[in-house]
Amino acid sequence: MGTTGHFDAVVIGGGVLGCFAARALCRRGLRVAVAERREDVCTGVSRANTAIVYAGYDTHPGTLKTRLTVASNRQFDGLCRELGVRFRRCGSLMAAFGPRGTRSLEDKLRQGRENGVEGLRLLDRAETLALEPALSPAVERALWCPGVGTVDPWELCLAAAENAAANGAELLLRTEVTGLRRQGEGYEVETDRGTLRCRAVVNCAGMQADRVAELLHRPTIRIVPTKGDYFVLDTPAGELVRHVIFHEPEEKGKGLTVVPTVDGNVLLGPSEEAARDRDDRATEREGLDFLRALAAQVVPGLPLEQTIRTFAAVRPNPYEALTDPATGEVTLSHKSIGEFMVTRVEECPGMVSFIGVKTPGLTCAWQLGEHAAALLEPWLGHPGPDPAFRPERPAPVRTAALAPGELAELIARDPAYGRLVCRCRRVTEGEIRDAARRVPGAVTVDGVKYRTGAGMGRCQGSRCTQRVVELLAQELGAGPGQVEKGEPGSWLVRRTEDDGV
Amino acid sequence: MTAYELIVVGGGPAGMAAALGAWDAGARRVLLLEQAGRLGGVLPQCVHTGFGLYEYGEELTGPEYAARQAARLKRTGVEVRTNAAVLELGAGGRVTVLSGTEGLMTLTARAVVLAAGARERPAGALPITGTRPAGVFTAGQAQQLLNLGGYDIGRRAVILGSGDIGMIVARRLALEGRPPVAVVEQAPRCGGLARNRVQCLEEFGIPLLLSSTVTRLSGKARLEGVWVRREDGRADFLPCDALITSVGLLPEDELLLPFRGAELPGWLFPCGNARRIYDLVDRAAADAARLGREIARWLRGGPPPRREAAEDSAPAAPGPGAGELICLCCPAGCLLSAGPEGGVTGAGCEKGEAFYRQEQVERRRWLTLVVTVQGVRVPLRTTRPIPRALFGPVARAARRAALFLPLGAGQIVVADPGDWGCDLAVQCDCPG
Ligand SMILES: Cc1cc2nc3c(=O)[nH]c(=O)nc-3n(C[C@H](O)[C@H](O)[C@H](O)COP(=O)(O)OP(=O)(O)OC[C@H]3O[C@@H](n4cnc5c(N)ncnc54)[C@H](O)[C@@H]3O)c2cc1C
Ligand SMILES: Cc1cc2nc3c(=O)[nH]c(=O)nc-3n(C[C@H](O)[C@H](O)[C@H](O)COP(=O)(O)OP(=O)(O)OC[C@H]3O[C@@H](n4cnc5c(N)ncnc54)[C@H](O)[C@@H]3O)c2cc1C
Ligand code: SF4
Repeated sequence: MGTTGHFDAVVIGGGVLGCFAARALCRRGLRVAVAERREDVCTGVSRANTAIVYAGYDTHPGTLKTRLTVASNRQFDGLCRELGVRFRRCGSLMAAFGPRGTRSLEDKLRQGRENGVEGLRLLDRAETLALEPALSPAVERALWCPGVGTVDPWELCLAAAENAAANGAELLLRTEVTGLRRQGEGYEVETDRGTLRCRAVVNCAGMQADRVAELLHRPTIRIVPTKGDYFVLDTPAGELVRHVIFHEPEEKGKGLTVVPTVDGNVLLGPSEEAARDRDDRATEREGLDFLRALAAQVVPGLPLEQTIRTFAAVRPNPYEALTDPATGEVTLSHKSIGEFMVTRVEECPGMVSFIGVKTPGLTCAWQLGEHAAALLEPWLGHPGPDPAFRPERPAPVRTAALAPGELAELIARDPAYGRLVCRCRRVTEGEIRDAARRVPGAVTVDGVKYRTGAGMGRCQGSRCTQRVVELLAQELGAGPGQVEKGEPGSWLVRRTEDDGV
Repeated sequence: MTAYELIVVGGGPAGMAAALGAWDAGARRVLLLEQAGRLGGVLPQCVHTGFGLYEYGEELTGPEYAARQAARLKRTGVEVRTNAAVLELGAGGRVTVLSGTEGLMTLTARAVVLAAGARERPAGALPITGTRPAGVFTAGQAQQLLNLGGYDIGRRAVILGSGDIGMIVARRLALEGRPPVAVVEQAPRCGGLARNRVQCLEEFGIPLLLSSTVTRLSGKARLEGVWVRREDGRADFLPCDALITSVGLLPEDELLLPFRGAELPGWLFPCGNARRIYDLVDRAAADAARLGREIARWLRGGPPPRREAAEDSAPAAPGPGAGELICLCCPAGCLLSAGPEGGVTGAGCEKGEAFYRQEQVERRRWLTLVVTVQGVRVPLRTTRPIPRALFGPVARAARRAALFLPLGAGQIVVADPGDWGCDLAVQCDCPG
C-alpha cells in the first residue's frame, strides 16, 4: 500500500509532542498527517518518563522553558478536563538533608517566585514530616509547591492523538520517514510506504529528531543518549506517599524522585547511566542499586519488596553541533543544552524541529505544539481558528471508576462491561474491545495495556494476557499468533502443530 | 439485597470444599461465586496426575479432581454462579459482585469465605536487569497457554525456579517436543517434590542448574537469551526464546486490602491458597471443608471457627544414592533400596515395594496430554502407567485419532494404542 497524499503539514513522530502539534494544526483548520514509524503512538520517550507536571521553579527566568512550563501548569486542569485525562495535582516537596540542599531550596524559592510560580513555601522539618510522613526524619527543609502534579503520560498522549484524529488528522502508523526534500513551495516527505507532499513539516521524531532534521539540512543539534532506571511499586505502597518528592542531594549528582501515580502506584527513579545507543532501554544493576540505596535514605519506610516492575528510559540529550567548514567534520559542544530547542534553519522555511526536548517536555507538550503551529502560521498564510474544531475528547469508560448505578446501566446496554478480564486493575472485556475500536486503536497487547491498564497491576498480566490476546485477535480479525506484545517481532504465542513426542 | 447464610468467593477446590463442608454440616442459603466461566480454579489447566491421592487414594488429574467436587456440589442445594467476580467485601458481610449476565449486584451474608486462590509473583518483581522483550511468562500462565490455549509459547525455554509448577511445565514442554534448555534454581537444592524432580526433569534429561539464577534478559522484540549466574560466580549466556518463572505463589489478598492492619472482621474467613499456599489440593480441600463445617455450626450457635489450619508437611527429600530410587507413588517420596532377602527397605507403605520391583523390570509412568478436537482442548490420560518407551507411539496415536465432540469423562478414545493393554481416556466432559 502506498501512502500518498497532499497535506498542509506533516508531523513526523507520534509521541506526545507530535500528537499535540497535530492537534494544534487541526485547531487552525489545516490538513495534517502524522507519520509514525511504530504500530502505535506513544511508544518512545513519551511512554517511559517520570510522569510529572512541573510548575516551573527550577529553570532560569526568562527562558522559553520557564515561560511554557508556568503557562502549561496553570492551565493543566483545563487541558485534562477537555481531553478526559486523569490529573492528580498532588503538590511536591523538594527535600533537603543538609546545608547544600537547603541553599539550593532557597535559590529555587527565589527563582520560582521570579518565574511567577504560586504557593511556594519553605517548610521546616516538622511541617515537612506532617505533610509527608513517608520522608525520612533526617530531612531538614523542604520546598513546598502545591502546583506540581502527575499524569499518566500515555493517557495524555493517546488523548491528544485521538482528539487530533477526531478533528481530521491522518495518523499514518507503521510509516517511517526516510527522506525529506524541498519541492517548490513545500516539501516531499519520503516514507517507506510512499511519498507525502506538504507545505510544512514539524519534526517531532524524539530520539531520532536530529537524524530526521539532517535528512534535509545541516547539523544544528545532535542527540547523545543516556538512560535511567525506574522502580514501580504496588498500590499499597502508593498509599504511603502523598506528594511528588524531589530529593535534593548533598553531594553533586542525581537525586531521587518519588511519584504517587494517578493509578495509585509509586514510581521511583530515574538513575543516570550511559546508554549504548538510542534504543537502549535495558535496566542496569548499578542504576537499580543506586535507587534502592537512595530510597533507603530518603523514604526509608517505602516497601521496595512491593516492586511489580522495573524499566529504563532513554534521554535525548541535545548538544550543539558545530560543523568545521573545511573538513565538514561535526563536533559537539561540551555542555548539553538546557533550554528547549525549537530549531528552524533559514534554508527551510516551513519546517520546525524539536530536537532533544527533555524534561519538562511532557508538561509543555501542548504548549510546544501550539508554539510550533504559531511559528508556522505566516508560512501557511495565517489560517484562522477552525470553527469546526472540537477540543473535547470523550474519555474511554473505566468501569473501576464508575458509580454502581452507571456501571449497572452500562452492563445492561453491553454485557461485555460485566465480564472481568484483568482482576488487578479491574478491566472488563468491554473496555478492551473499546480500546481496539478507538482511533488510533490498540493493535498490540501493550496498546491494550496502556489504554486500559489491563496487565499493569500486581500480577503483571500473568492472568489476563491470554484473554487479551484472544479478544484483540477477534477485534483485529487476526489469529492469536499474529497478536504481538508491542514492536514488530515481539510475538507472544503461536498455534501448536501438535508436534510433540 | 439478597441475604445468604454463607457466601463463598472463588470456585476452586478450596471454595467448593468449603461450600460442601458447610452444606453437609447444615448450612443453608449458601452461594458460591466464581469469576471464571467454570468451576475448578487452577485445576482445569493441571492435566497431569497427582491429585486426590490422600482424599481418594487415586492418581487423579486436575480436571478429574475438580469434576468430582463439582458433581458432589450439584447434589447439594448450594447455589453456584459462574462469570461472577467479587469486586469488594464490605462491612457486615456485604459482597459486591460483577456479573456478565446480571450486572452489578450487592449481596449480604452472615459469613463470607474467601477462596480466591493465589497469584504468581511476576518476573517484574525479581531483580532481573536488561531488556523487557516478549516471551517472559509465569509458570501458571505458561501452563494455561499450553494446556487450555493450545499455544506454542517458545521453542527453547529456560525455566527459573524449581518449584513443582515449574517442573511440571518443563515436562509438558518436553512432551510437546520442545524440551526446555534448563531449569535454573537459586537454592542449592530442588524446590519441589522429589517425585517431580525425578519424573519431570531427570527422566526427560532436562538439566537442573542449582545455586544459579537468571540475572539479565537479552533481546529486543522477543527474548533471545538470558544471563545465568552460576554457583562459582561465572555468568553464562543461555540462548532461549522464552523465560518461564516459577518463583512463588502469593495468596490473593486484594479483597483483604481494605482490612489491612486491623484484625479480620469476624464474618470473614480466608481459606485455600488465598490463606496460605498449599502444595497439595487434598490438604487445601480438607482444611476448607473443615472450615465450612465449623462455620455452619457457628451459624447455628456453635463455637467460632478456628482460624488456624494444620500445617502442610512438605517432606524434605534427600537425593537417591547408588542403588536407591525415589518412590513416585505419592508426595512422600520415600527412598527405596534393596533390603535383605530380596525385600525392599525404605518404603512407607506397601505401594513402595511394588513400585521398586516394577522399576527393576521396566519404568512405567502415567502419560497425560491435550489434543484439540473441533477447536476444543480435550485432556487425555492413560488408564494405567505405561512403559516410558511407549510415550511416543501412544501420543502419536492420540493425535492421529479422529475424534468428535461431545466427549465424556472416562470415555475411551483410543483403545490399547500401544498393544499393551491400556487405553487413552478423556479426563473431563467436553460438550460439543
Ligand atoms: C527519563 C525522562 C524523564 C522525563 N520525565 C518528565 C517528567 O516527569 N515531566 C515532564 O514534563 N517531562 C518529562 N520528560 C520529558 C518528556 O518525556 C519528553 O520531553 C517527551 O516525551 C518527548 O516527546 P517526543 O514526542 O519528542 O518523543 P517520543 O515520544 O520519543 O516521540 C517520537 C516519535 O517519533 C517516532 N519516530 C522517530 N523517527 C521517526 C521516523 N523517521 N519516521 C517516523 N516516526 C519516527 C518515534 O517512533 C516516536 O514515536 C522526561 C524525559 C525523560 C527522558
Ligand atoms: C500449576 C500447579 C500444579 C499443581 N499441581 C498439584 C498436584 O500435582 N497435586 C496437588 O495435590 N496439588 C497441586 N497443585 C496445588 C493445588 O492446585 C492448589 O493447592 C489448589 O488449587 C488451591 O485451591 P484454591 O481453591 O485455594 O485456589 P484456586 O484453584 O486458585 O481457585 C481460586 C478460584 O477463585 C476464583 N476467584 C478469585 N478471585 C475471585 C473473585 N474476586 N471473585 C470470584 N472468584 C474469584 C478464581 O477464578 C479461581 O477459580 C498445583 C497447583 C498449581 C498452580
Ligand atoms: S512408599 Fe512412600 S512414597 Fe511410595 S507410596 Fe508409600 S508412602 Fe508414598
